Amino acid sequence: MSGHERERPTTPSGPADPAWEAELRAGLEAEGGEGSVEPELEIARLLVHAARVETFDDAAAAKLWTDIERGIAPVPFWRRRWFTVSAPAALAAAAAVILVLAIGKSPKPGAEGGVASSADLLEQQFELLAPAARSEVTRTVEAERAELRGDLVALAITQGTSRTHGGAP
Amino acid sequence: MTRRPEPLHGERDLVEQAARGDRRAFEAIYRTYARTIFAYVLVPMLGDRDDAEDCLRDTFLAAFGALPSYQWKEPSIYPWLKVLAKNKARDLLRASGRRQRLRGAFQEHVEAIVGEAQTPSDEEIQREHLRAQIEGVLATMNPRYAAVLRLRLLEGKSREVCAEVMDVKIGTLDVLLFRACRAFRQACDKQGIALQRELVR
Repeated sequence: MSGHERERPTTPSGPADPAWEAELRAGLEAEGGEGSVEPELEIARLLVHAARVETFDDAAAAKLWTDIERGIAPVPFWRRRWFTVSAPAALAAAAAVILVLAIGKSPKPGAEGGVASSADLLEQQFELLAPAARSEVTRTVEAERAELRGDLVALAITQGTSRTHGGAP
Repeated sequence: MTRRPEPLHGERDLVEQAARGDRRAFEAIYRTYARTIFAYVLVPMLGDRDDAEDCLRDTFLAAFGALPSYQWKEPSIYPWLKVLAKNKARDLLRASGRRQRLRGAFQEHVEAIVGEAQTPSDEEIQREHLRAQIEGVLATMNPRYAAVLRLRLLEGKSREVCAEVMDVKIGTLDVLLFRACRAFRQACDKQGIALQRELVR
């Protein structure tokens, strides 16, 4: 008996045990044959099945149920396909809407709001300073006019002793 | 040791609850029928334990998804589950590109000898019938071939015990078993039991 044969279990447990094929192949080779042992294997398994069906014990059943239960468990909405596909698109659309609304509500340059407030401030400052500035201008103009008039009168008096210029003072 | 399948009490209610998504009800259905489908449907069709487990899982996953459209038929949901399991096994065989006959599957031989069962209890009854049919075939065979098949395959005696009873060496026992399996097929032919040889793809 070879080492391989010694390792083989002496009593295969059920029809699906692969040891049946090894045992039949050993028989085929011992009589000098080679090739497939499938027809004989089918018969061997059929007879074993008639005597004792393949076992599926409680541990194997529980282990398989764990796999099945994982497969049939409800999937949270954030892990569902429709959500993973549509959520980014919905977020992008929402961001676009918010952006459009924000732009629509913002003041136009030079009209109202931030820019308009600066103009108002300038206007208010102008209104505060304008009367004094106008008075100063008037005063300066009047003063210079009076001075010029005085100069002209003096000049006319000086030259009026010799000739007149069309009746001008 | 084989456990005789027991009927599921209130099965219709459980099926309706499971169809509404009740996982506990579905687990009860699984616990009741998984063993029978594994042992009587998938292993005979696939000839491989791991493939049979994979198919069993796929069968119940598909069943849970299809239950809302399932129409209840007396006396049990078992025939529906069996059809699902057989379809899954065929899908696996097609997907793997392997032929059923090259995997040592024997479902067709069972059906050729005793037909197809429709309930878990029928599966067990038909297996007992299969055993009786096999005994009938063994009775027509060379006594030494019949003896080695009975000792090694039906009674599950170890090789050492079988060799001792048959008064041969272990190597000779292997040859005897191989020849006996071949002789059994020929004996079936003589009895008019046509064990199919077509390849199922």
